[in-house]
Amino acid sequence: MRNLLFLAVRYLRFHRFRTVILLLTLTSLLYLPLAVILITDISQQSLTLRAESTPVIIGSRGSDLDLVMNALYFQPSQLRTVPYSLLDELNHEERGRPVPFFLGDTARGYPVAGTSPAYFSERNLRVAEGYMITGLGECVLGSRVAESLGLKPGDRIITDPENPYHLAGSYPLELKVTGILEASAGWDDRAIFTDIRTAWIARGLGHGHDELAGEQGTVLKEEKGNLVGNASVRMYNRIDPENRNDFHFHGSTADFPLSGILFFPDSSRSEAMILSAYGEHSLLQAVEPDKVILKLLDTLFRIREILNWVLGVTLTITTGAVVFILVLTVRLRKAESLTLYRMGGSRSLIVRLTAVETFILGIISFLISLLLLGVTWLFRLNILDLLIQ
Amino acid sequence: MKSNFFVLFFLTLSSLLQAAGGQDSSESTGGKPLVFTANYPLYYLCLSYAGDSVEMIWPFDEGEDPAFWEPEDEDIRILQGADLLILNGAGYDKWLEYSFIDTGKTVDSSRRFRDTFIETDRSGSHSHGGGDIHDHGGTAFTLWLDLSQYSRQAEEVHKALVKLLPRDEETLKERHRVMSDRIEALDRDFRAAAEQYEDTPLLGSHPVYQYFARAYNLEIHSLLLEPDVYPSEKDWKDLAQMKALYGADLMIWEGEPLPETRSTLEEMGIGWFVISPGFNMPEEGDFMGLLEKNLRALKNRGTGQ
Repeated sequence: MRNLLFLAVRYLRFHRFRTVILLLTLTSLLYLPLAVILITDISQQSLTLRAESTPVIIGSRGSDLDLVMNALYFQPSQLRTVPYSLLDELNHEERGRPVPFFLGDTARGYPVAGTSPAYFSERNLRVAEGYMITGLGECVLGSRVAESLGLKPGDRIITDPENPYHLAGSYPLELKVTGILEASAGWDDRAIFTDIRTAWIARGLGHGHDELAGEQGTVLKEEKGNLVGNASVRMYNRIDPENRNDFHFHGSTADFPLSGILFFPDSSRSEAMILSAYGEHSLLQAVEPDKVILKLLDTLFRIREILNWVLGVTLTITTGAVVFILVLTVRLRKAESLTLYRMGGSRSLIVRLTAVETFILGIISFLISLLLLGVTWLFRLNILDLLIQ
Repeated sequence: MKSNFFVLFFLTLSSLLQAAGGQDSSESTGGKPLVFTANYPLYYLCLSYAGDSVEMIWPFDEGEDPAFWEPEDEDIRILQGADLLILNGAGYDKWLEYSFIDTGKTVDSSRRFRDTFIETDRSGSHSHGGGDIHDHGGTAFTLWLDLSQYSRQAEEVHKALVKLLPRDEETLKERHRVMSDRIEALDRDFRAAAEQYEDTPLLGSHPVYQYFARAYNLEIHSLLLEPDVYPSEKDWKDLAQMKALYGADLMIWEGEPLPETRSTLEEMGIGWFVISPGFNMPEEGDFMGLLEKNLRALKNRGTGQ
């Protein structure tokens, strides 16, 4: 057996080009169908789990899929915002726990989600390192964000400017990282969480600046007891305990925007009441994410069916090609087989030698496929991200 | 070897005892829901209703006005662990604007009478460039000095506690009934005592008597004086001008003024008495005692206090 193995390995090494082609063919034969199954299963599980853990999402009327993708997977949305006062209304209805969220900005490419402490308890997210946000200007990072950006508690991260050439646009805001969340193997690992008011400030809806009354040359005019500041007034781009009292919002925060509200009802009756209350609303909608995701998965499964057909045809052709290569190899090695036979080797030795070579190729292809499947698993969220986008 | 064994034995034993002790102490505090109240009048209600069933959070220093409380990170972390946060409303709880607190756990005790809030003047307002005019405050917040409003706040506190402690519903109901009766009786007494001031304008040391004046038909013109600070030249000048303008020779203070302030007031022919808003815990007695003291002062026009 050792001799057979020696001969087989020597042969495969000598015919490198043929060996590589066979390895690629066999690997694709094993990996592709398994990868399709893995990705669709992961997508199904990941999407369904997150959707099922969020009973109701309330947002502006429009595409329900857009609302769910925005609320659960932090994808940009074209939907209108809802007023913050809606949160108060839901709180007073006492039918469950409303959790506000506001998405708008990004920091180094990752979504910045403004929310309330209830988000973390409902999603069962705990701080692994550092501590939870206590106030304005602070954030906690999802584990993957922290890992990929190399950030730790105490570091700072700046929100991405929406448009650097838009001079009147909002100022980038420096956020202090107070903690890193435990890995959840989900979408929360890939987001930056902050207080809803901090998210508003990052959007330019609130600000902090130098005291107008105390500074010389900062007042443009005074009208009806109201000081109008000029352009020299220094705006704060970082919120510290020392200046956080100076941050303020113009207008009533009741009218300020929310991307939507995740709603966790206290009973199935409450859930039905909420769904019915917003079912007929002209400006708002309440959706059940699991149903929306089921519709999306139907589409995904239809795509998988098509893929299966394509793969089936490809695999048949590839298998034929592999068999053809092996048969051709045996024919090409006729002279070699004759030499072995004359040296005293039996006919079965030739068959066994070919079998060992094929077995080695099979094992290596299998290991490469496993490795590729592992890599696919590692990048499952990125793949899912691409799929969702 | 033997001695090592004993060291290990005692270390294990002491750690076990410590662990057991820790558990006991966490049970004694952790078993009860944590409740925060924004000021002393609300704290008093909560304590009277459910002091035996909840653990109260009182982070304010002695003499500190909770309206201007600026919580540290550690304070906010404690509040994040609270089961119920009872707020005053009317812009009183300004610290909430920069604190990461779950609004689902908060109860605004004055939300049902928001439409009756008194807006104060907008001094200190400003705008930036073409931006909107805005100010930072502007709503009077000493709601509880109007006892009918305090009664409505008590109703909200009661409801919130019943939701938090459904098993204690009957007890809470009974305690709330007793409390409501006491507040109503005091409210009637304040109305009766205030009748004597029908044609008597009063001066207020601080702008905290808006609801008190409205509820009991009082004409109060306020300055910006602190009882523990001797007024400046300008303050005395303003006071003299207001005395002359409104014909007022009686002044209400938040707390007892300094002896030198009292002397100057006497020289100016201004009588005074204390109507304490009771923001923080009194040195002695409780909130009802404080209200009764206020009532006596109002009845006696300051004499005999």
